[in-house]
Amino acid sequence: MSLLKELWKERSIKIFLIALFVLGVLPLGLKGLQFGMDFTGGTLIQVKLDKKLETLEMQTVLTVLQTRLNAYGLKDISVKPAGQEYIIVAIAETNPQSVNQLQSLLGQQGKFEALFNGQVVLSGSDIISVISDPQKGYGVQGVTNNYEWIVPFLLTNDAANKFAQAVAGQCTMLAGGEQCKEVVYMFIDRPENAVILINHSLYNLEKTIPEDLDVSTSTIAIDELVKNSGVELVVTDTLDNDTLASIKNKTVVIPEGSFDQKLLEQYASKVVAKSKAAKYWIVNGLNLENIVHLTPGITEGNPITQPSITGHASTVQQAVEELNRVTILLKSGKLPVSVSVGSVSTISSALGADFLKYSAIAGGFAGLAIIGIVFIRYRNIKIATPIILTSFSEVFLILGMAALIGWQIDLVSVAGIIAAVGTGIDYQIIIIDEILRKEQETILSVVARIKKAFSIIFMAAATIIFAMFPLIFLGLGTLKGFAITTILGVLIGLLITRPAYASIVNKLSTK
Amino acid sequence: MKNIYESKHYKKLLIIPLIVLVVMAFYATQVKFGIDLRGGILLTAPSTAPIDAVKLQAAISSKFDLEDLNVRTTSGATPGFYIELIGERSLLKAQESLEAKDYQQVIDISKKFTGDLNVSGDLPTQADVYFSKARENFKNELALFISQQTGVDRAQFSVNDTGPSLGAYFLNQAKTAIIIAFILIAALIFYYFKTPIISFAVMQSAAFDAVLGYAALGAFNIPLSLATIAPLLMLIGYSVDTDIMLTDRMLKRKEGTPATRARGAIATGLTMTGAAIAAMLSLFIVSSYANITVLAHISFVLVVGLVGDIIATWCTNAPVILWHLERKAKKVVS
Repeated sequence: MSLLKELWKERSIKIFLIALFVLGVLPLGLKGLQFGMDFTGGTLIQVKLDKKLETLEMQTVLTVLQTRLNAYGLKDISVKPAGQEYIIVAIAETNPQSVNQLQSLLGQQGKFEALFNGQVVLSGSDIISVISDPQKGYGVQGVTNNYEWIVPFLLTNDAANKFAQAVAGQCTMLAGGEQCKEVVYMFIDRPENAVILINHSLYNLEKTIPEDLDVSTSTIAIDELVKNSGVELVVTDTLDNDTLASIKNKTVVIPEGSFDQKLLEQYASKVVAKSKAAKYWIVNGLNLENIVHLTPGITEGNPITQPSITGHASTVQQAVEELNRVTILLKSGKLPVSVSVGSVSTISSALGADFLKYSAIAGGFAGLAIIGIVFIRYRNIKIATPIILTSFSEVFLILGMAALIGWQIDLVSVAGIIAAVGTGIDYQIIIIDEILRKEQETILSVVARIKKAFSIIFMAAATIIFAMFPLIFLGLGTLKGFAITTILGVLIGLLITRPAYASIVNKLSTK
Repeated sequence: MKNIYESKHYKKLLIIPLIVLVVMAFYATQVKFGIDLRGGILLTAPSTAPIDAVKLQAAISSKFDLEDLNVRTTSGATPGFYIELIGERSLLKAQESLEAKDYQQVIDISKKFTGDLNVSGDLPTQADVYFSKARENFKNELALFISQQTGVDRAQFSVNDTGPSLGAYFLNQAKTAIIIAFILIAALIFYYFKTPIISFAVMQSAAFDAVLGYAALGAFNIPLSLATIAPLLMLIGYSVDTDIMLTDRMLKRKEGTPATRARGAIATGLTMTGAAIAAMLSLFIVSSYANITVLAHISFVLVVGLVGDIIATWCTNAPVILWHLERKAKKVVS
């Protein structure tokens, strides 16, 4: 009892106990530990940019991608550049369906355009906001045989006026008297400077397609559609010289697996192979979202400030997915470059849970091994116990600090913690051996010897911190976790646990 | 036990690290860079139908000339397979040529995959275009082939392709980290020890450990990846711990002869290194058992490097400091 009383008088012990509470118990109790993707499961998506970007443009890209992910409803996300050409996105989502959707959200430039007579009359910058109010029409509703989704959005006054001017007087009234024959086409990521290349059988199959793109009411000819999209259409079954000449230095859009892509690449500046995701290939090939009839009102000069994009899908789920995609793309705005998703890797949460369990077991075994070595060397419980207690409190404090600064614990962090505790043990061994030395007993007091040991420890700690320091600031992703936990551990050891340990050993040895 | 440092032959201890270094130098050249540093392709796909990894690997190997092809099947939560490869051999050669700025060579090799391309621009630009097209085409061919072999739809594949430029970026950053760390530590050591010979001895020991850890990667066919760079740096830190302790005892203490002080430091040093080895060995065993590759690799590198530290500290540093002290003593006498 008297020993404990004496210890309590020591300043270093007080600091230690306060730190244990403030840096350990409080953050762990209040905020709790955050685990990284390795343990919770999650997905890592690599986004490749079409060209290298400077810092400012890169910032724009990061913000837009972040906005898209937030709008999708994800919370734990990290969007980080790797070099000037890549962005690495980490999300907690592992559901393959959601991951697929996210892939398409991240891989799109999000360039909105409305075309009339082949001219751009509205673009993404004209949109003030998306109106996501179901009262104003936003959402999905069941119609005959399928589901309709509607995304209304708000235009700037300037844009609305400009649009009204562009279509002024352009109305050939349809039967029924509500709509004009003339239509406006809306796109997200319309191919630019492009040629659509298809064969005759596809051309004949999609010669006319329904105007609302899915349900059949009135139809529109593919020639008309392509002409009004501001791209060229070439229908051919063979890649003859004329065809190849017509695509020179242009972007060629072809149905996936239809033409000899290698041959096309020799002439075209870019070849895009599109799958038939929608009911009609051409809709996907053009990235066409919507065809809207003009109304007499607008052609008479009354601007509309709240147009909308609508579409149809055969299931509720598909309709909701489309609704979300268009909403998010319109909300986040377009990226300064076109992008593609390079790679996607998912760690399932079941695997992550296993990793966590085994990491804890590994940590436990590492602790036991250290205890074993200490007992073999000193064969003295009075010496071994403080070492073990110190090490445990160090782990506790590192975890507490991690919780405090919101650092996510991942696999590499676990290695870092064990490495830090390993160096911690080193310093305690230096202290204990310094005190146990018989030869100097008459010359130096225990306090002086501890002081001596500390000069070694400071130096050793500084080395480790210097070794880990560069890893924090360089863009090396996962290594940062290792560096941070190691440095935290060494600092905690140096400033908090080791002085307390020295006091305890000091008191014990003078008994 | 007899104190080896008191014997006249203590300098012969230096032979041990020399031999180790020569052997390890060979393995150090065998180290392969992992996908995250070199670029490479990881293709994963779910498959409920059983897949024979050995057969698939053989089929792919006979069709393509691939570097480090590795086919594995996974079970449990996400049954399927994953196929990892550094790249196609001729394309890897093209990549080397690209780095060596031999652009014509790059184009010649790439043409095998792309045919003649109609590209404009100067030679480096053309080579870039050819190379990236060739990579893309190869990837498509590979995915198509695997899809045919496994019957899994191509749309289900998740292809993780770290382009050589991203890999090169990471590698570059990693090199920078190692260089900065080394300079910082060197400055610290010279500041602390002041004597150049001692400082060099400490630095060589740190380098020895890191090289040993690195060579272990080559010897056991573990790729150098982002995860295995961290322990290499950590080794420098660990190494300096024991060196400082030893040097401090030999230089700053007065009792006994330098040889007995060196002998006395061994107990402390071995306990320090032993504790670290024991901890890392347990981590290695558990994580290998649980298939946690990242942890297994990190702990393995540390174990090997720490064993190396025993050699570096007690067979190099101790004799060098002893020798230094002897010379100093002689100077004083004469």
